[in-house]
Amino acid sequence: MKTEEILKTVIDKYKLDDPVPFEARMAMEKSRKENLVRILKKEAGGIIFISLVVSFFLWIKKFGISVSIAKSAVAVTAALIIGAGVITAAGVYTAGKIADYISDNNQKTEHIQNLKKDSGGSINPEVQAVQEIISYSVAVAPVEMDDVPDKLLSEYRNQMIHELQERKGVKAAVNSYGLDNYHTSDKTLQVSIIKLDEKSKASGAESVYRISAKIISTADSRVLMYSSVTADGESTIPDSIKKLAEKISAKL
Amino acid sequence: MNIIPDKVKKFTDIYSDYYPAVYNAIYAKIRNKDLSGDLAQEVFTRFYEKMDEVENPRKWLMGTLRYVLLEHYKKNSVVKIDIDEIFYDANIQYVNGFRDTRIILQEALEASENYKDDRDRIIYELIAIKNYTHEEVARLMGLTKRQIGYRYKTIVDRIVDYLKNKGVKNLEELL
Repeated sequence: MKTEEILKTVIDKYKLDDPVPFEARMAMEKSRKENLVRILKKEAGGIIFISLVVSFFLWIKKFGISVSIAKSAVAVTAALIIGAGVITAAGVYTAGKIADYISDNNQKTEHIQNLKKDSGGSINPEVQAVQEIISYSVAVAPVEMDDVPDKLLSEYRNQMIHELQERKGVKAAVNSYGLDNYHTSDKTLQVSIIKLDEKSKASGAESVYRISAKIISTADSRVLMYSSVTADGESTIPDSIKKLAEKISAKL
Repeated sequence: MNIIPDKVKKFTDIYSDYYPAVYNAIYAKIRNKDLSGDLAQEVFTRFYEKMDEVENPRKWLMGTLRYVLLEHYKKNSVVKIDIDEIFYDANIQYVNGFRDTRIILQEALEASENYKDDRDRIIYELIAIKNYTHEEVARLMGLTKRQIGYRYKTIVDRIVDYLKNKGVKNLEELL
């Protein structure tokens, strides 16, 4: 038997021992921390700070590391400063990200609004909710026609969009420039206007125009639909676009 | 920057070492966990106020502990209390050789030369008298289990040498 064990047995035999029950030992450890906080709170500043310092001071002892209360206070202060720094940095970073996100969305909304204004359409509140993905039946490409100003071509395209939307709703057509992650379409409507010179040359009358439209799949470039109408003069092109829109909308 | 005043530093070191001894001494008398905590707090609150005048913290704490206990008994008992009855000499109830040997042992266990410092005495009391494990004492004292084991063994060796000088050649003789 080891000397320590023999001495312990001797102490027990002569009733010099006074064992403390396990529950009392646990209660002692608990009250040790609480009482220290109560005694020190008046002297050492705020209750929360001293609680943290005392908790750290007693906690670190459990690992066999004996540090003074002053060092514990320094460690807790450093941890609080670092913690506050991390929280502040995280806050600034998050605020920056949110600001970027809002700014990005505003730019997209403005862009869409501008496109809507260009196309003569009303500003739909749904457009402002850019997070919502809107799928359109067709995206209308720029109208092809020789020897006419871009402004006129733009008017023809806007008219086509407007006619289709009147018949099939706002999701029937969109300006192909307005497509993005939130505004999509799997079909493109191409409109071309050709002057039929032969007739006008022969009779000396106003030129006749053929307005043709074809819907092309954006996935595989297949022509899904083709249709055309004629206009007896440049002034009747808008009426012919209206007729063509009727034909197309019937098949959308 | 001095975050913690010097007085608080000194108090915390003493408190940390002696709290288990004070609490256990109170608990040994009143056998009430919560009340022991309250009375231990009272002892240390008084110590904190008087700390600058105290030369021997251990003696002061044990003396104040007796008064705090007496006050507690007076407050809660209708019968007249004698403090010496509370801290009576347990040797009186034993007779002849058993009592003599017990007195020699007690002297050996209390002799200051057997302890390098007060922390040694606390370690010894917690393990040998209060039946704490080495691990529990390590946790309370902020030392490793190995350090506690080494210090405890050194204390035991000193006590055995002390007993040899008192005529107890072999510890087994006392069994």
